[in-house]
Amino acid sequence: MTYSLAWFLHPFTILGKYSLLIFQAFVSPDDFRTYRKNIFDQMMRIGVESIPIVALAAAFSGAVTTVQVSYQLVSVFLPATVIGSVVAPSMILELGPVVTGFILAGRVGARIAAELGTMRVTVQIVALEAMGLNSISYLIAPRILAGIIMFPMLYVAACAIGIGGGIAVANLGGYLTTQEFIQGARNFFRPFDPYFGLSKAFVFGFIITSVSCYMGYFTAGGAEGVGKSTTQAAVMSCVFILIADLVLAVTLL
Amino acid sequence: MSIPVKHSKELIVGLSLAAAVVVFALGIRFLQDVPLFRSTYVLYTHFESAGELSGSSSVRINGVNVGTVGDVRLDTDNRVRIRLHLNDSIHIPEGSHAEIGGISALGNNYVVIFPGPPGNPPIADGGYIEGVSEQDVFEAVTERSVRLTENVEEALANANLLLEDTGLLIGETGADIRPTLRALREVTDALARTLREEQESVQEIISNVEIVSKDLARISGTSADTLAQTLQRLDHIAMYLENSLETLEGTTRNLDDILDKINNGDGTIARLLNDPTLYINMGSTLATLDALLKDLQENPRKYLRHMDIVDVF
Repeated sequence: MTYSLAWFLHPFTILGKYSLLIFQAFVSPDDFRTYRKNIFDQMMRIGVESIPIVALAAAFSGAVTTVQVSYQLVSVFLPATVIGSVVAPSMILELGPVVTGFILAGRVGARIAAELGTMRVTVQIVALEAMGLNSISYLIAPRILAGIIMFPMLYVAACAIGIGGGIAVANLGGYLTTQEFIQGARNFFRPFDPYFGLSKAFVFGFIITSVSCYMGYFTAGGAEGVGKSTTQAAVMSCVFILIADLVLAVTLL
Repeated sequence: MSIPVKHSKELIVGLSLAAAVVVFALGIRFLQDVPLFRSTYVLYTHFESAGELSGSSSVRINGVNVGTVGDVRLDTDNRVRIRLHLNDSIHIPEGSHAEIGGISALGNNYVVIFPGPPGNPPIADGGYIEGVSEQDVFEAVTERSVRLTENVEEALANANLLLEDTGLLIGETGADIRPTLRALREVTDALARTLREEQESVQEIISNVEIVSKDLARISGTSADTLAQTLQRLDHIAMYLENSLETLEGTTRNLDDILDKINNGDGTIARLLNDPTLYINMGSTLATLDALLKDLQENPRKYLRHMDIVDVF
């Protein structure tokens, strides 16, 4: 009985611990200037250095969606522009944020968890505390800030490159012309869609960095613990991205 | 120009973010089909219903995209107020009106502008263009399909009744139909039997017919020349007859004319035929002549005496 109650309450314990960690990270007595340099470092690592892999994934997503939509929607009753009408909103609403999110969950989430986990198991975090720094603010706040600022930037890049990839394949594969693609994309374009995608990107950026920071910061068990935290950071980020994706779609659309 | 190492990260991050903001803003304008850098020509219109129109729905003139719907909102009087962003190279003359086009079921609606007379002055930027609400195609189809379904249902009900009646009819007269069918089968059987029995005769007849047709073919083959000559003559005769008929027709026509004239009282014969006075005159003349001849017979001397020739004898 006690065991099942503990099992039932465990997720809430984790949620509380997680919330307190994030709260402490931003309610810091330290001056912003203390970790200003750290923020730009994280922005470079999380954002700018992720551009190539995000661009690659987005370009291929756009291209594959275009080919598959062309394959599925072959009908005399449907104009070729329909392909553009499907691919562009798909990239803007779903593929752009989610593909970018998954890639960053692996690339950025694992990295953050590994960094913080190693610092924890090698007692560097304790050393920071000993030096009088607030380790939570110093280590976690810059990463989360960098995530929520840079992730929307990566989302914009992913959408632009993904639609570009779709247009390129549509042209090269002879499925439809650039004009037809753009005409189709414009036909069903709603100005709210990019803002919705941007809010998803903002939320996903927060989820990936905060979950990974939590996993890394509370690492225990030496090298093995670091490995476990790293894996969990990537997996849990992906799981929460999917949940958040659904919640946002249900609430905002 | 080398980037100072101290600021390089900040610079790269700043540039990335700025680029993202620019791409985002221009991307939305691009997908809305709004000119990226130029200002737009804004018009307002009112419709009874928005009919699936949304921001970024296109605006067309004669099927060409000329701008987008900027904003769709409900006005204070519950009518739908729509802002149109048009390319600033387009000028809509006064007297134009706007309608909602497209098929709302597919969500691909757009605003169609029907330009007024080209000589009219253009509507000013931010001006108003009249919106004409028309029933959209899908609604019309739905409405008609309801009527069609009702008709079909009615027809089906009638067909059902008819089938029921037919069923009853067959059920009632089944007893009559069955013997008829049996008799028909007997007749068919008899016919088949006869055909079997008379097969030889039939074959004989067919072979005779074959022989006859062969003979005919031979005859026609040998006397083909004669036949051709005969036909040629017949042709000549027909031509001659045709000419004669033409002449006859001419003659008949002339006769017709003459008869017409006679009937109308033209010419001597007509007068002769139509004028009774001549007949009367002739009658009286004949009567006089008759009296004269009688007199001559009775008293020839009275007349002959005066003739010198009589004196000669």
